[in-house]
Amino acid sequence: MRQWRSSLVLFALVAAGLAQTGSTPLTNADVRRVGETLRCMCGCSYTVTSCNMLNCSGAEQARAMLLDLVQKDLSDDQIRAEFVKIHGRVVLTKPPSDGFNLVGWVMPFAAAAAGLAFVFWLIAHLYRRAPATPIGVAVDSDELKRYREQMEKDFSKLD
Amino acid sequence: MENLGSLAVLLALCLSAYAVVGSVVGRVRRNPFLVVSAERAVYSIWALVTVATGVLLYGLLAGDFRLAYVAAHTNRSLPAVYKFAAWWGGQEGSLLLWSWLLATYSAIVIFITPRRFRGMKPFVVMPLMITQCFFLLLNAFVASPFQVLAIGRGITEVPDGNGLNPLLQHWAMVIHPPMLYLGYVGFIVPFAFAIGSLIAKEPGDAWIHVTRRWTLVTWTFQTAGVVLGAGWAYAVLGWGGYWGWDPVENASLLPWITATAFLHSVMMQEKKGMMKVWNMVLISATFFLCIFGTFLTRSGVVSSVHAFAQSPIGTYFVTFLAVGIAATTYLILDRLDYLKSEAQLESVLSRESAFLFNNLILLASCFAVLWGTLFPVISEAVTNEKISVGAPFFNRVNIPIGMALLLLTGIGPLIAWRRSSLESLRRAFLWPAVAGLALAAILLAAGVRHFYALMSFGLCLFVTWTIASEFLKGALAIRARQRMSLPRAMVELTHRNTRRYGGYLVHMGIVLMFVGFTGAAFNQDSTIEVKVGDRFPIGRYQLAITNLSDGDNENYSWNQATVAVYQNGAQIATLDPARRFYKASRQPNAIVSIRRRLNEDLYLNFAGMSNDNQKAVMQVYVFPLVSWIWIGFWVVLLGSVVCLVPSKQRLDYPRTQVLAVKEGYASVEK
Repeated sequence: MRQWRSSLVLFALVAAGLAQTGSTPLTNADVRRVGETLRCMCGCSYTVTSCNMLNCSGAEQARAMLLDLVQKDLSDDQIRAEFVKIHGRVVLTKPPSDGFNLVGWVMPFAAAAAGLAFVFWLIAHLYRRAPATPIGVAVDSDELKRYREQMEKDFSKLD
Repeated sequence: MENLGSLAVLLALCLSAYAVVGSVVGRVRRNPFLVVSAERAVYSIWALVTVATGVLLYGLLAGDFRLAYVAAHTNRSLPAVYKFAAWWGGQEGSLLLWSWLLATYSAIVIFITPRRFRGMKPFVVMPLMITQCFFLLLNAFVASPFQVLAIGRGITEVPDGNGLNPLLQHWAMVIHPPMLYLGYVGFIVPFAFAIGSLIAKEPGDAWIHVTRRWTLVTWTFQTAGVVLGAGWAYAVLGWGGYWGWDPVENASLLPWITATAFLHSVMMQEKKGMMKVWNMVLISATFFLCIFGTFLTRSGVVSSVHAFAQSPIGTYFVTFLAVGIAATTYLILDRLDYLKSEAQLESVLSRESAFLFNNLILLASCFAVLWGTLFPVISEAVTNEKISVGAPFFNRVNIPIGMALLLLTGIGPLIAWRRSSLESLRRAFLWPAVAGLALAAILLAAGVRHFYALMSFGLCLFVTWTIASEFLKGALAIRARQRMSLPRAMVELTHRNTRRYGGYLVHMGIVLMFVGFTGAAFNQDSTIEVKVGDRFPIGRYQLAITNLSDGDNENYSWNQATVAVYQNGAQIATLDPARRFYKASRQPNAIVSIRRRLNEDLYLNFAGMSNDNQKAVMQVYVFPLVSWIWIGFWVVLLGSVVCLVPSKQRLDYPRTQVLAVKEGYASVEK
C-alpha cells in the first residue's frame, strides 16, 4: 500500500515536471525580445527569455504577464515599467543610468582613461632620452642611417 | 570512518600551523633542522588530507548515507562517475578538494624546488601553509564534510540520498570544476615565490624563472576550466549561450585576466629587468582574486545560478582577504628599494610599450568585470535600492576592450624589443592592415551591418596575417638553409623557440575564439508549438518532429522528441532533444540536442508541451561559427603545451643597452 502510494506521488511529480504549461508565451517574438531585457526573479541571473529552468515559477509567471501586456499593445518601455512596479528596478538587466547608478556606467571607462593616462605617464617616466651627440663631433647622417639599419636588422633577430 | 577523516583534517591543520612557524623560525634562526622538519610536515599534510579525501570518496562511492554530505549530494542510482563528481558538488566537499590540491601543489613545490633556492624556500612555505591552514580550518570547524546525520545522540542513516543536482550530471561537470580549481589553487605557487623573494630580499628574476612553468601550467588549467564551463553552459543550460556574465562565471574570469597580464608583463622583467613592482602586484592580485572568486561562490553576497547555499563562511574569507591584502601591500611597499627597474624605455615605439598597453587593456577589462559584478552590492549600499547588472552592461563595456586587445595581439609581437622605426612598422603591418580592411569592406558590401562584427572579422584577419607571416618568414629561411619541407621547417622553427612560437599559437587560438564570439551577432532563434509531422523553418533548415517518446530508468524518467532536419528538401540529420525528471532530487532538466558544424550549430531544446498537451514546444536556435570557440580553445591548449616544451636552442636574454654612439664602425672579434 505504502509502495503504491509513493508510486502515485512519484507519478504526480513526474507529470507535473513533464507537463509544462508556461513556455508557450515564448512563441511570441515580442515576448522573447522584451523578455531579454528583464531578469528572471528566481535567482538564476538569466533573463525571462533565457531562463531554462523547467517549471521555473519566476520565468513562467513573467512570460505569461509579458504575453498579456504585449497583447494589450503596450510599448516595450511601458511593459518594463509594469514589471518595475512589481519587482522594482532590480528586474531590469541593464542598470538604470540615473543618479548614483550613472557611476556604474561611467566608472569602467573612467578607469580605463585613468589607466591610459598612467601608462603614458609611465612611458614618459621610463623613457630615457638618447644621449646627445657630443659637442664638436659631427655624425655623418648616412653613417648614422647605416648604423640604425644595422641595429634594426640585429634587433629583429632577437626574440 | 568519519572519525578517521575528521582526525586526519585536524592533524593536518596542526601540522600546517607547525609548518608556518617551523619554516619561518628555522630560517630566521638559521636552524636547518627546523626548516627541514617544516618541509616534511608539508608532505605529512598531503598524506593526511589524502586520507581525509579517501574517506569522503569511499563514503560517496559506497553510499554511506550516515554522512550528511553523502546524503545531500548522491543517491543510490547515481552513476559512479557522478558519485565521484559529488566530491565537488557541494560546499564541504569542494573545500576539501581545495585543501587537497593545495597540499599536493605544496608537496610538489617542496620536492622540485632547486637547492639554490634554499634561502628563500622557507619563506615560500610560509604563504603556502598559511593558506593551507585557513582552508583546513574551514574543513575542520566550519564546513566539515564528515558531519553525520543524527537524531538525538544516535547516528542515523537515511535510506537514499537527495541526488546530485541534475545540471551537474554532465561529463563537462566531471572535468570543469577540477580544472578550474587546479587553476585557482595553482596560482598560489607563483604568489608564494613572489612573497618568499620579497621577504628574503631576493626580488630578482629567480622567482620568475622558477615559477614561469607553474604559472603557464596553472593558466592553462584555468583556461581549460573557464572554456569547459562555457561548453557546459552551452550544452546543458538550454538557452544556447556559453557566457551569461553570471557573478560566479565572472569570478573565474577575473584571475585569468590578471594572470594573462602577468604572463605578458613578466617578460619585461626577464628580458629588461623592468616592471618588478608591477609583476608583484599582478601575481598578488591574481591570487587574491582566486580567493575572492571562492568567496563569491560561497558567501551568497551576490545571487548566482552556480553559487553554493548561502552560509556564514563568507566572513572567514573576507577576514583572510583583508589580512592577506594588507600584509602583501605592506611587504611590497617595504621592499620598494629592491624592486627598482634596471632599465629604461629606449623608445616609445617598442615591444615594452606594447606590453604596457596590453596590461592596461587587460586590467581595464578585469576592472570592468569586477565593477559590474560588485556594482549591485555597492549601489544597494549607497541608494538602498536593488539593481541588476546583466549581460547588456558587460557586453557594452567589454566588447570595445576586447577589440583593442585583439588589435594589440596582432601588433605587440611584431614590434621589436627596445625600439622600432616607423618604417619597420609600415613593413610589418601594411599588408595585414590592408587585408583586414579589405575583408571588412567585402563583408560590408555583402550586407553585414553589425559594426563590431565587421571590426572583429577585420581584426581577426589582421592578426592571423601577422602570425602567419611570422611563421612563414622564419620557416622559409630555415627551409632555404637546411633544405627541408615547409611543414618540417615550421616544426623546426617552433622547436627552436618554443616560447615565442607557442605564444603565437596561443594568440591564434584566441583569434579563433573571437571568430566564434563574433558569430553571436548573427544568431537566430525561434520558439514554436508544433505537432508530430508538421514542418517548421529556421534559417536554411526545415524541421519536423517525427516522434514523441518517453521512458524511465532508476535515475530519471524522460520525454523525448525525435526531430528530422531537412535542407533543400533532403534530410541531413536527426536530433533528439529531451526532458528528464530526476527522481531523487525531484528536479526536471532539459537535454538539448545540437548539430555541430564549422559554419553554424543547429540547437534544439524541447521546452515541453503546449497548454492543450497536443503540441510540442520547441526552442530552435542557429548559432553561426560557435564551433570556432571550442576549436580556438584546443589551439590555445596546443600553444600552451608548446610553450612548456624546452626550446632546442638555449635562449639567453642579455640585458644590453646603448651607452653611447661611437664614431665609425667598431671592430668585431670573430
